[in-house]
Amino acid sequence: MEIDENVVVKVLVQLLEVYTPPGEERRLEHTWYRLCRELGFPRSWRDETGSFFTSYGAGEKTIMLASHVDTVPGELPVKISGGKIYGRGAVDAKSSVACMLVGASYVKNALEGVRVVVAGLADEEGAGLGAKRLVERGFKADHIIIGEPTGVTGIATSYRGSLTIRVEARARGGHSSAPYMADSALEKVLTLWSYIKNEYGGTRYEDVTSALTTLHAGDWATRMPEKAEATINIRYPKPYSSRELLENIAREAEKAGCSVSVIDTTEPVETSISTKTARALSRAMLRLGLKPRIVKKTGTSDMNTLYAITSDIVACGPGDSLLAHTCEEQITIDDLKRSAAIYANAVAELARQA
Amino acid sequence: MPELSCPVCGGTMAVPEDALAGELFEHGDCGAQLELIVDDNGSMSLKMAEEVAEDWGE
Repeated sequence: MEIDENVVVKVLVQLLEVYTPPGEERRLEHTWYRLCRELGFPRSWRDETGSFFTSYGAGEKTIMLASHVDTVPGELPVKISGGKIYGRGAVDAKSSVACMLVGASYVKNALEGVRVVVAGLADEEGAGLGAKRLVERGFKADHIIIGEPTGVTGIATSYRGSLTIRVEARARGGHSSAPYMADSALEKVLTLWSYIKNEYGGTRYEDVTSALTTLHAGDWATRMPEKAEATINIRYPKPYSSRELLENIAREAEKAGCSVSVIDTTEPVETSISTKTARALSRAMLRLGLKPRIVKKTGTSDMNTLYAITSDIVACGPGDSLLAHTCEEQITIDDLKRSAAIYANAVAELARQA
Repeated sequence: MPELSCPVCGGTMAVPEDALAGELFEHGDCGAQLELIVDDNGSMSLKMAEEVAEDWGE
């Protein structure tokens, strides 16, 4: 199956030309409906979060291709040069959206008894509201492919979980000339951070890792801080859970004289390379002469949330994740063609299975 | 379904009839990530999958 370069490039460029940081996804409305109509999708719609959908077919089985239409903030000029396309979202993840739309459209007339839905979810770079809403309203799907940059041939079977906490401390303060008589809110926060770093200072996917991401304290060089506030992000694989981590942290926070509140939590997800969806992608790659790779993601994605819909879910898409969120976001046209063909073949294979 | 030997735990693993050379599987018993090898004679075996890469998401 040869993907028409002009089609996939045109779709991606038009998606990139509409700047859509989280909360502004609706700007894409006219472009989305027009592109989906031109690609032959008979039904397209948007939900209240700003997520876009398009579908064809009907039947007991639903195959969903889900990526996200929001990007990190920071508009970049859209250009095509040297066989590459540049722009905000060229890696994360409008290239996946473009390839999913084009790939699904290529096999539309060859499938029977199956419903195919392509989703451009909202707020993946924020709080993941688009994916959460989909789960809340009871959306059903048998197989889900998440479009995230995995370098075309990577199949991501696991994402770690994420726990973000706010740590606050209050203290009496005092003069820095006699710290042994004073009371520092900053030191209380740092005492707790020291525990977290020692306990959860891993360096591999399998470890729990932690990062102190914000710290506010003090207003004078010789005054011990009376208030301190920090934000800490902790990442963890299965079998850890946010509950277990929070219990340990809360115990140590009490000892250190700090209070802890949860800003956000996303539980880890782990599926198998043997699932039907992973197999369909793997076989699609092999038929195209590509070698599939297994990828573990240290971060999170909408896959963590959409696992609640089906455990037959993996992530796969074009783009070098090291370029995601950078000012160098770019994708090769060859990779776009390859990914669109992979999605098309994988959807056809999943549709054929009983 | 052909039953092959897991190179990690030595247990057996059933591979689908239609499996392609290079396909990836997880051994349900030991969790090993495996790649299907098919030689010139069509004989099948399993080896450890070459690459389990790590990269970030959000």
